[in-house]
Amino acid sequence: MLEVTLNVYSGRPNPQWMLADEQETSFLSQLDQITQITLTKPPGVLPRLGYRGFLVNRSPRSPQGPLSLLIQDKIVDFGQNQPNRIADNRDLELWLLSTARVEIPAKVRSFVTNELNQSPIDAGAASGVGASGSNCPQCMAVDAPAYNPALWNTPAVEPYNNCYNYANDQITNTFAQPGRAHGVFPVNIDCDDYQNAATADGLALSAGFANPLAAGQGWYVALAVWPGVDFHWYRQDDNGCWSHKPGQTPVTNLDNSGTPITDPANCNRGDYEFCCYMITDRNVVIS
Amino acid sequence: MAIEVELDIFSGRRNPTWVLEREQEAEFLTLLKIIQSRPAESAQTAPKAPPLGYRGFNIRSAGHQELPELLKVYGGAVCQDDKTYPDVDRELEKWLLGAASPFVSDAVTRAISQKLGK
Repeated sequence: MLEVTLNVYSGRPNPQWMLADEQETSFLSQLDQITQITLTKPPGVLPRLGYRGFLVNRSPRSPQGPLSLLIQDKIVDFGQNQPNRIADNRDLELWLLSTARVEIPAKVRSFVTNELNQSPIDAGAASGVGASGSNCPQCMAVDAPAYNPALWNTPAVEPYNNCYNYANDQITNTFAQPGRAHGVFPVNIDCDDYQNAATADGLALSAGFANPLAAGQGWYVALAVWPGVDFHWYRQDDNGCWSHKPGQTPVTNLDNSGTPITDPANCNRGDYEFCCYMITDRNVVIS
Repeated sequence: MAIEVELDIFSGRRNPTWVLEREQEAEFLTLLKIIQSRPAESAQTAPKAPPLGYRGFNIRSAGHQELPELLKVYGGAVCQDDKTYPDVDRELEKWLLGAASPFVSDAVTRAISQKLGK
């Protein structure tokens, strides 16, 4: 049984419904016809209200096995296990919309239909960098995580994980704080205290992000602070550009100017000042 | 039904969150009704907050007769569901910032005031 969720609301539960057997057959057939591979991700949950795609899920207990897709702006995001694919048009999204009945109010259906009939957001521009990674520096870390906002931008993950969770690529659902897992609590909100707290967790200071990091040696992250107010972390993804998750908001690879982040030391950070680069890895423990 | 306000601003730390007092509720609802009486546009027209720093206020109230479950107030607009109401002078944001003062530092208040043109 396939469950469809329309991501459109901010505070209310999103509309959800099940596909009938023949609809499921039709969906899978349409999916099979989308064969063009893309490295581009859907815009995911950009910092905006309104239409943010369809989630299509099948339980791991199903005889056909689990399925978890995000379909938005012609892109089908299979998550980490398969490359994404891109359709020529938005027919699949329009068809998914048509399978809902009373689950979607008329006004919302009209709104989403209008969205789908407009030109989609340029997925390359929305994600900041296209598949070729143009303008991204070379990523020297073998273990650098992939840029996959769909993994983080879900109701079960997004509100409970912050910049530090994201930089370390660890979903703990604890709104992780540097040092907390090791009993180290920054006294001042400044670069020194937060760098020391992260070091207690197992991160290591780095002069930059140009040196190769072999398998098992981790990936590059960066610390910034709004002095006396807050801290923030970025991480370098395997495409070479940097991304971040500001608090409970969605993951993005854009800075405050809407520009892809090629170096957090030189991007628009608002009130946050750049502190340092660090290296994290899968052995780091955070909470 | 309590009206909860969240100042959406931080990245590492949790956002300040508090509940309006009774007199504040009445003032808030009065201001909101004025805004909601204006012509609404689609949610797509809502101003987009930057990723880092001040991102507005989230107002939550489960089961309140006069409120949706979530309102977002940012950038001279009030958004609920698929509608955006204009608040060009940012009156509601300024009021909410005043209500926030016991719960946030002077540095945060100053930073947001600058953005609101206060």
